[in-house]
Amino acid sequence: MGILLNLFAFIAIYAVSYVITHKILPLIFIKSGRILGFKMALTPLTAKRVRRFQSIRRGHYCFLILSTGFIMSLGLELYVNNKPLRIQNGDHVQYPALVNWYNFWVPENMEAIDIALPKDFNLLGEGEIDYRSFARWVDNPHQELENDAQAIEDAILQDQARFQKALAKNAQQKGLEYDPKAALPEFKEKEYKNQREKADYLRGLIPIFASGKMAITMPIIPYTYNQQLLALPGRPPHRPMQDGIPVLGTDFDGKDVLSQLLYGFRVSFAFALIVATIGYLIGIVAGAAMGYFGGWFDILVQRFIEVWSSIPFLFTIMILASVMQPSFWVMACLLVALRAWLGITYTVRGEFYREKSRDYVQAASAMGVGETKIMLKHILPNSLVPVVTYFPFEIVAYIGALVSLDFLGFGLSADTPSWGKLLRQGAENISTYPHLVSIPVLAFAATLFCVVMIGEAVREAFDPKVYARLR
Amino acid sequence: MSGMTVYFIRRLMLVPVTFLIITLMVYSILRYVPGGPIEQAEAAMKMAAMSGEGGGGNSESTTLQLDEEAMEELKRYYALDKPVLTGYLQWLGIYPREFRRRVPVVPEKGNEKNARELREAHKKLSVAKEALEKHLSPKHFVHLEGRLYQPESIEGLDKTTQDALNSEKAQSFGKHQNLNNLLKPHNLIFLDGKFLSPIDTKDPQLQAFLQQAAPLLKAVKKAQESMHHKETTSGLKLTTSGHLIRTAFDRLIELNTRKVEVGKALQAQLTPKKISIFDQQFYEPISEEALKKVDKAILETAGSLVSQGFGKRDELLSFLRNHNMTWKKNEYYRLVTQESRDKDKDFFTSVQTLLKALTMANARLLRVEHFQGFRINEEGVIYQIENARAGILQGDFGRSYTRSEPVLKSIVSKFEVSLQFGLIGYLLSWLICVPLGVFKALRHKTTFDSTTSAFVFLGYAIPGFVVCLMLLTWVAVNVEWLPLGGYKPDNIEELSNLDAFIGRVRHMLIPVIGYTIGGFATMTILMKNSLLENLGQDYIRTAFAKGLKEKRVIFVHALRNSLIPITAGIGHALGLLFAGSFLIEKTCNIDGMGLLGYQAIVERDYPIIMGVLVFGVLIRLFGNIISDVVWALIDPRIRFGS
Repeated sequence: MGILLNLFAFIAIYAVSYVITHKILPLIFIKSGRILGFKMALTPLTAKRVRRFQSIRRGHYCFLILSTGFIMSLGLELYVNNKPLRIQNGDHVQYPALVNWYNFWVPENMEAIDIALPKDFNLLGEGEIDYRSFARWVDNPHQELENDAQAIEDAILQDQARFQKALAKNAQQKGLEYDPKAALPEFKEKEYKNQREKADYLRGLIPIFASGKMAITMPIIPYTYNQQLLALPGRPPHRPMQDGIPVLGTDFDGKDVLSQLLYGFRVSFAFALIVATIGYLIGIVAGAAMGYFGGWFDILVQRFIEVWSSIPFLFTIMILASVMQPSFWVMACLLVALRAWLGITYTVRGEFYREKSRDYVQAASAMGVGETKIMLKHILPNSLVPVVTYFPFEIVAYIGALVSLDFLGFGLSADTPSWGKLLRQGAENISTYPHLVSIPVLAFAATLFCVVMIGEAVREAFDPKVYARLR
Repeated sequence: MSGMTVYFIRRLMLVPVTFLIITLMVYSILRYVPGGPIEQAEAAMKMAAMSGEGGGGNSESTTLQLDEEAMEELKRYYALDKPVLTGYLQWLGIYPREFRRRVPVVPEKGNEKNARELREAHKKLSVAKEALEKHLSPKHFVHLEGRLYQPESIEGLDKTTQDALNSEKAQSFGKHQNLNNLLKPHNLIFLDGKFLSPIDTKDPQLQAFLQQAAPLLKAVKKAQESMHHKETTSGLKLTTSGHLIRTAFDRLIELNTRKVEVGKALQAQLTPKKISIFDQQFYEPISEEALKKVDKAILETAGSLVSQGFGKRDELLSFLRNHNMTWKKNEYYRLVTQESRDKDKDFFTSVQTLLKALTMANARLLRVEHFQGFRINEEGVIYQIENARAGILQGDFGRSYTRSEPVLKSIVSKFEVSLQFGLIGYLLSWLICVPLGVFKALRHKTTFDSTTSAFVFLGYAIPGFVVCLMLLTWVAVNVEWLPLGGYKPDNIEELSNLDAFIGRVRHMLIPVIGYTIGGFATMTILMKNSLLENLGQDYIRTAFAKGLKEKRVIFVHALRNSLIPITAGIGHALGLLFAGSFLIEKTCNIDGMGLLGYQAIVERDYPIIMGVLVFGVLIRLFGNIISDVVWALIDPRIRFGS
């Protein structure tokens, strides 16, 4: 029942994200563009291409699903988080998940406190409140608190029995008589006393929680990618689909697999988008200059690219990463510098080289249009077809590169959620915990397959090949 | 010259340039980044020290533990004491590299005759000496170069001479000449801490004794002469331990012995007072209380430098020297002040003399070393310094830090394995992609086309190593049809031919699929599009118009032309084989080039990293050129460079 409800909530969030991604954001984009003085209308040719793309349903649907998913993942902290959306004690109200989300976007402002402290909630202890227990207690104070207290007492009894058994065995080995009524050693008594106090403390909380002063709203998935779930029964990794365990189980550190997958999706996708975009910007500028100006500049940059592209880039990044543990941005820069700008430079150079000799460019030049304007307004829009058609495949390549590097252990720093790290854990223990391979592989394959489908549809729409064939 | 030839010449000329740029870049990265062999050795020492102290231990006491000389040795071995460019040129083999070759004890083999004769002469001499000494011992006489001496006390001399002699005797080292000069007017010599005077040969009481001694003396002299003769003629010499060495090293050994002796004497004087010498200056350890009085800022800076390890040692020392302090083995030292030197004047003058003697001995040794071109170390091991070019241009890739074998050997042995997989994978992709592409082209836009397209795109989306992982989980783990890793059965020697073959195939299946997937999608689509394009050409129309059968038109006319772009990919595939194998070899645990490179990076094995890089870059560069050549050969329409 609970899972169904969560699923429903998830779908609702997805629907909202869909509206945001495909209705609100384009609207804002177009309106603001118009306010800034752009026409914001597609040329008939582009409009036709877009329509053609929309008519290729598999690609179009994949695009809708993925783009919505990515926009949705930007708010992950709000629905996949171990911190509550809202936690209340009488007049004291906090919104830790919201602050957490804010911190993600404004990382400089880390002082914004995204944790609720026990002292504000009539609780004992240090550090962060255990929100999940808190939620349980709020739900059903009498039963849950009593159960927890009882569990502690049971544990004491069990431990006592085990300890006495060990004592008896020890005595027997030494040939002595063991008296079960004899007092336990002092340290044990102390330990038990502490535990009993804790149980009493929990029972003491019942009236507070029963009074209705406390309230908490947890996100749909109450786990996060970097929290070790130490309270779970048994030892990590937990297999998926078990009672009392996160749906997709945990990894070797006891971290929830599902939240790692979701957060990993955001990181991988954002990484690939950023690398591809920056790489394309550099590549287009360089390629345009090469193709348009030609001459020595062209030859020099060509030779440089020839040399540069011979660098085994995976190997080089591995060497660099092995010594510096790159952060997200450093890794992105490395990939841009070593790989991302190279391929498109050649294509754009070729396009510019060809378009430059066309009549319309000559005409514009004859009319006295400046070089920058010719390049930007006349040639560039006509050379963008390969740029657009290659873009999705670049995304595939960079997601693959990031996963590969993380898999080899030369990827982003350890606290970044990643698919590659999950795969690595799985691969190292493939015979015992194959689910740690299967789950990320499925997520990975599904995402990349979607991107490839988009890419294929974009290529079909922008650069259709019509084959005439006899028979 | 045709444009084509120029184009290929240009490409070939770019190869060395590219190669140099890339290798220099990676070499510099490796040199500048922390975590090199020195740091690793240091870390290993730290670990050892930590575990030795029972896990705990404060971090300060475990830094700079490594013997500094050993560190220097390491640095020199890895050419880290040279500037990056020099190191790189040495690695290339353009700049000579310094080798220390231990000069071996002359082997007995081939010198049997000389050795035997020398030993005989040696024996004769010792027998003669023994006989003489036996004769002399009752009278406590000593013989020296054919003359006899007797012990003499210096009591009879005047007081000043006595004092002078005693003081000279106390600081004996380096002062023999002085002492003997003082003794000469009194007809005395000094030997082994004793004063001797020549015996009076006229003494009638001794005549009988001397007469008996004369033949013995003669025998000793003769034996000595014959041995000397033997040594000069053969150029060899027997050491005290009975080994043969070249006489040329006599002087070297003598000077070295002297240096070591003086050094020992100096150390013996210094140790009880806990005084050390750095750069000809006297330093004493700073006590804990005195350390507290030292400026805090200095100590903080020094402490931070110390904690950064050996790499910062030079900086630390020069910093401390500016404050009249120094550092050794986790202790701060400070310069001995003039006042305390005045207080203990005798000690410091004697030590100063010894120090001077040591410096002199050292200088003399250095001169002889330099002159002869040999070096000798404290233990008396003689080695030769040779400068030779030994880099990759000479085919010397160096030795691996971790595998203790030449880099080239490891690479070649792993290369076989990788090549095997790469070739099989490439062949397989031809066998699958070409027919598949053809069928897809012929059934363009049918259900067959779209369903296979889905698989092709899936293959494009998922990297080869992930496919391997998937197959490993589902086929090797879940149903156990195939083995989990490695590239051949462990017990392949015991198996019959057929079983061994099947075992190999079973092991290689999953990785080969991974290799194939890499280029699978691109190749299939390329084949399909290329064939579709050709089918629309005029020559196909002509062929059909001539009345040829469809099969002939497609499989003979169109297919031949459509294969051109795929064939041209051969060279690129060579490069891809290398680049892709890191992941697959790691995943499937195949002991090939990729795994070698991966482990080298993890273990910071610089020579191997550079070796793998060289191979990778060369394969890639030549692969690209081969691609172009193949393309130009099979397609006369292609014109490069125009």
